[in-house]
Amino acid sequence: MAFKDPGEGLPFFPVKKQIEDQQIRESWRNIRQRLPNTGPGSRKPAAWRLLAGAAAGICLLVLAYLAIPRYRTIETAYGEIRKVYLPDSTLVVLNSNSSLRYPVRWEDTMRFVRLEGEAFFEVTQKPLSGAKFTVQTKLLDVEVQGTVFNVNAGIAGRTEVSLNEGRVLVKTKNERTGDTGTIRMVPGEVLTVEEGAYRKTTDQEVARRSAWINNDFYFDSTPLAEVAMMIERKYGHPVHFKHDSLRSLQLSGTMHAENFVQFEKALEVTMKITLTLQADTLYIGSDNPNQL
Amino acid sequence: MLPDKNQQNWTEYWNAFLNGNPDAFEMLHRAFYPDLYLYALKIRQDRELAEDAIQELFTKLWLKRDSLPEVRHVKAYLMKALRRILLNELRGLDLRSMKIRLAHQPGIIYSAEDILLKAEERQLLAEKVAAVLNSLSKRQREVIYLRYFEELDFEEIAAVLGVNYQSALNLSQRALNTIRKNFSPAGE
Repeated sequence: MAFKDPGEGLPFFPVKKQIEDQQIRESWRNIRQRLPNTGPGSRKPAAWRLLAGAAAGICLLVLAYLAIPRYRTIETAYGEIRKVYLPDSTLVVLNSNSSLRYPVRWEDTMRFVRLEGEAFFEVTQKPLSGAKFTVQTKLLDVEVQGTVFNVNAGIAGRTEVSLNEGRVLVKTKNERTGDTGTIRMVPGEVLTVEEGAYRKTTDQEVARRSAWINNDFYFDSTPLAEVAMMIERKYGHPVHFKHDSLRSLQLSGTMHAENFVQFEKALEVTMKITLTLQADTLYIGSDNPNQL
Repeated sequence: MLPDKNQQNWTEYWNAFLNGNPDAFEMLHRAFYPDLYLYALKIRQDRELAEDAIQELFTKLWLKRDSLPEVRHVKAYLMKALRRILLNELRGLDLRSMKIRLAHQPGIIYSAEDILLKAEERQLLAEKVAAVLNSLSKRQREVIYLRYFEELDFEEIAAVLGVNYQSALNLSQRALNTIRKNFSPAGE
């Protein structure tokens, strides 16, 4: 126990508990584990390694200088959402487990980024030059002028573009056949490209598809199996259903979760299911016989 | 020799951390962990949650160090960030569809263990004093905690609570008046 003089005017001594060193060290160990390998506390290189590293670094620098164009890559960890402003002040919100690559030497007349995973874009218009902005993904390119839209290329073999404002031109590319196609989109439309084919639907509340940028999740009769895929993609936890019947349970509504723990709890409460995280795998079960 | 926790020398460590120095980062954790942990515990009365919140805070700090500002009052900055995490935790659990109202102000609860009476006033029960503290408004309770338990100055308190300097001062003054009024050692 530690106590200090009473503060001016305070008629008693405030007492603060002592925290054991052991607890602080334990906390630090846990934090270190949560950080990427480059994080603090990773082993320090020996002197010779530093030298070798420096030499290699110089070689790399030379190589990097020679390799044109050069790109900057921004990656997000599981559970992380990151806001990025491009040099033309376009806003990109990158969802978890995604990456965005763009030229270091940015030119406003030729704006393009390469996306893996999911991102939300608020593209700055260039009315004078009318310069386009292109988002490249594996399955399609989205060409825009100034607009707000969401691209989800996080699901293998499927990419979804949803348009909140403005106009976009989507250029599909079939890797196998080499076929290309051009599709125009207007606000409220959702374009899904899958297995070389595309389908266009409208969504009255298309902005819900980018609700994730505010840590909001929107579900509309979404089967738990699909939620499980989202969990694997966004939080990196493989999902195992204890009973297959749980896969088809449907989820509707909005929830807000800033991290996996919150998401997990929200899901438990709304669906009356039990979620247990064991060795990184998420087990979904239920104590309710009516659900099985 | 490490700087005093409430001194501004910590800004050097903070700046080193911003530049990616892992040792400086660990030093910040080591130095501020006890204060942060106790503060979190006061806000949520849950050891596990307090620990989780601190881990989340430091993980986020490291991952986002490129976009963090230089700060003058490191302790106040950390407390404010931790407070936000704890409040978000409260909020995140609320489902919109369940129409649960959001808490924007943590409710600190004092206990007898937080209080040591002056020798001449030992006849008073610490429990009673704690009850007086708990009768204050949530904001007043928090100001008292930040001022007297964490020894922040009013500029820092204002920053943590997101109010202006004068409001922090007024809150504290009103709280002190109430405490003194209810704190009548002789008699009762």
